Amino acid sequence: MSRLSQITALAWLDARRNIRSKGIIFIIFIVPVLVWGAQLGILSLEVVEDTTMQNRDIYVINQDQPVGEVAMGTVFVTILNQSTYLNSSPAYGAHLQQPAIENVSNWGDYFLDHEMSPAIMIPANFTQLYLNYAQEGDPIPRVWIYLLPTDSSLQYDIEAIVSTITSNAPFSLYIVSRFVGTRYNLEVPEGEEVPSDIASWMTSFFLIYAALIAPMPLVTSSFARDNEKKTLESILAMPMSQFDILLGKFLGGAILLLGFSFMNIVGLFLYKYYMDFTHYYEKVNMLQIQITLPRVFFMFCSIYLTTLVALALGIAITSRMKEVRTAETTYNFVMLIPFAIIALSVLIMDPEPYNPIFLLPWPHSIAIIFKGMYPNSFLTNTMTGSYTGDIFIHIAFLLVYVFGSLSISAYLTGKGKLFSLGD
Amino acid sequence: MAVIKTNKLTKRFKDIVAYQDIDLQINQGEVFGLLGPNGAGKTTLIRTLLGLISPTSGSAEVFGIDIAKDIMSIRKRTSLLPQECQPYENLTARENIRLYGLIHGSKTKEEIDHKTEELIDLIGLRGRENDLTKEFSGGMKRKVLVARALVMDPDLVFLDEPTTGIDILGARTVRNLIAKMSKEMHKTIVLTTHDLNEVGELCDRVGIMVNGKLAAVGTADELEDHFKAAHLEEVFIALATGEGIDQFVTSQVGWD
Repeated sequence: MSRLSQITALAWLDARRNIRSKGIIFIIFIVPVLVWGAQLGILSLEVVEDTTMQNRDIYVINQDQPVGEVAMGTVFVTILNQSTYLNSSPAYGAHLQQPAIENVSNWGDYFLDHEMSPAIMIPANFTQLYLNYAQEGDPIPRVWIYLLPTDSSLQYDIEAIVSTITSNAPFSLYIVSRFVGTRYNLEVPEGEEVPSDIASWMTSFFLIYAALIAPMPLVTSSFARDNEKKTLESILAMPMSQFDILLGKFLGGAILLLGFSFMNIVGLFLYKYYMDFTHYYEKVNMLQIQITLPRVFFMFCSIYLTTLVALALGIAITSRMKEVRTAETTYNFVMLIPFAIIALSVLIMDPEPYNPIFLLPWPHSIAIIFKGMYPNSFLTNTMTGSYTGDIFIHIAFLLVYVFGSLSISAYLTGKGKLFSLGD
Repeated sequence: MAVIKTNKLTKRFKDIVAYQDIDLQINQGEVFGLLGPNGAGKTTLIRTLLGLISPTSGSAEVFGIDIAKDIMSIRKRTSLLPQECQPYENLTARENIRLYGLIHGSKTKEEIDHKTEELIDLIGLRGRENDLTKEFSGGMKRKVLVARALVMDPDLVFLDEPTTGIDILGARTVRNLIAKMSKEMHKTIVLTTHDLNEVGELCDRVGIMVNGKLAAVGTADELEDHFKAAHLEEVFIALATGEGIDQFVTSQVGWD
C-alpha cells in the first residue's frame, strides 16, 4: 500500500473515533449555529428606538441630473418620502424638507452655516453612475449625509434610513458617506462603502474567533489524549514518518472541520433570513447582507482554511504534550497570537485598502468574510484589488501556514525524538 | 537465525541509565520472555528496537537491519502491543483491527479485510465485532489489541505486559492467543511480563533484566539449574535483590 493510503487510513481512524464523541459533535455541528444565534442576541441590544426621527426635519437636496427618462434621484426621494409614513421605517414621523439650492461649492460649509441637519445630498451624477455601473471597480452612485456635530447621535439613524432605501430595489449598489460638521471627514476611498455600524463587523469577527477555538478538541485528541489513553505508542511504531503521522492526524481533524465550516454557512443563511424576515436591519442600522453562491463558497473556504491553520498549528505545537490539560492550555495560549493580531487589526484596518495587516491570514479571513456579505465594503481592494485574486492569495498563505507548521514540527522533533516516550 | 541481535546497547537519560551493555540474541520463531522488576529497562529496550527511542551507544539489528539505518523496513515486519494500551473506545472491534492494518500499510486492503475477519473468529469476538470497544470488558479489549497486533501478519511481535490488569480468564485467553501465534503462526515474540507462570507456560527462553543490565539469559530450566532453584521465581528474586548477578554471566545457552 502506498504512503498516501497509510495517511488516509490514519486520518479516517481519527475522524471516525472523533465523530462519535458527543463533545466534538456539539462543537463541530451545534456551536456554529449557536454563534450566529448569539450574534442576533447581541444585536438585539443595539435596537434603536423607532421614534428617534419623529418630528425631525430631514433636508434633502436633489442635484441629480436625469438621463433620458431615468431619474434615480427622484426615485430615492420618493421612497424616502414614503418611508416617513411607515411605522416600521427608521424614518417614520420625520418631515422631509426639500429646499431648492444651487451653486454651492462646499456643501459641508453650507449646511453648517445654515444649520441644516440632518441633510442628504444627492449629487448630479447619481443617475449617470447608476446606469454606468457594470462591474466591480466602477464608481458607485452614492448620496451624502451631513450632520452637525451636535446631531452626531443621529448618525446611525440617518444611515439606516439611507441604507434601507439604497440596499433594496431598485437600488442594489450604493454608497453611504458621512460628513460630520466641516472639520471631520471619514475619508472614504472613492467608490467604496463604509459599514454603517459596528454590528456589521461583528459577524466576521465572531466567525473567525469561533474558527480559531473549534479545532481545540481535535488538537487535544490527536496526540495528548492518545498519550493519556496509551493508544499513541502503537501508532508511532508504524512504518510511517513523523511528518506522515502529523499529516494523518491533521487530515483526520480536517475532515470534521468541513462540517464546522458548512454549519457556519447554514448559520449565515439562517441569520440572513431571520434578519430579512424581521426587518432587523432597520432596527439595528445594519447594512443588508448581500450574498451570492460564489461568495458563499469563498467564505466557506476562508472559514475552513482558518480552522485548518489553527488545527495545524495546534497539532504541531501540542504533538509532544502528554496530558490533555497541558495541550488545551498550550493551544489556548498559542491562539492568543491570532486573537491579538485580530484585535490589532481592528485598530488599524479602518478604511485603508492595501493595508499590510491583510497579509496575515486572520485579518484577511475577516476581510474576505466581510466582503462576502457586504460586496461593496471598503475592503474591496484589500490586497490585489480583486476578490477572486484575494481568495487565491489567501488560500496560498494558509496552505503555507499549514504545511509549514507541520513540516517544522516534524523536522525539529524528528529523527526519533518527536515522541520521546522514555524521557 | 537471529531476528534480534544487540551489541553493547546502552540508553541513558542524562544521569539515569535505562539499560546498559545489552548483548542479546533472539532467534526466529522463538518466544522470548523479558523479565525484570519495574524500571529495569524492558520497555525502553523494546522502544529502542522499534526506533521510538535512539540508543546512547551500542548497536542493534532486527532482521539483520541496523535500527539506526532503516527503521521503516524493520517496522514493516513488526508490531507492538504497548504496555497499558487500550483500543480506541469510540471504534468498533472490527474498525480497531482493520484500520490498524491499513495504517501499517504492509498488506493490501483485501488482505487486511480477510485477515480481520479471520482474527475476529480467532479471538472469539464474532457477534460483537460491530460493538464499540468501550462496551467491552478488560479481557475482550486485550483480545482486540492482540488481534490488532497480528492483523498486518508481522514476523516479529512485541508484547509489553499483555496480561497486566486483566482478570484470570482474560489473561488465560490472551495466553492461548500468544501460544497460537507461536505454534500455529510461527511468529517471533518478545514478551515482557511480571507473571512467571506465563513465562513458564509460553517462553522458550527468558532474559532477566535488573537495574538496566541483562543479568541472565537462558531457558527456565537452565536458569533454575544454574541457581539451584526450585522455581524461576527464586532465580528472579535472587537476581532482583542483587544476589547472584556476578556469579551468573549472561549467556546464550543452546541457541547459537
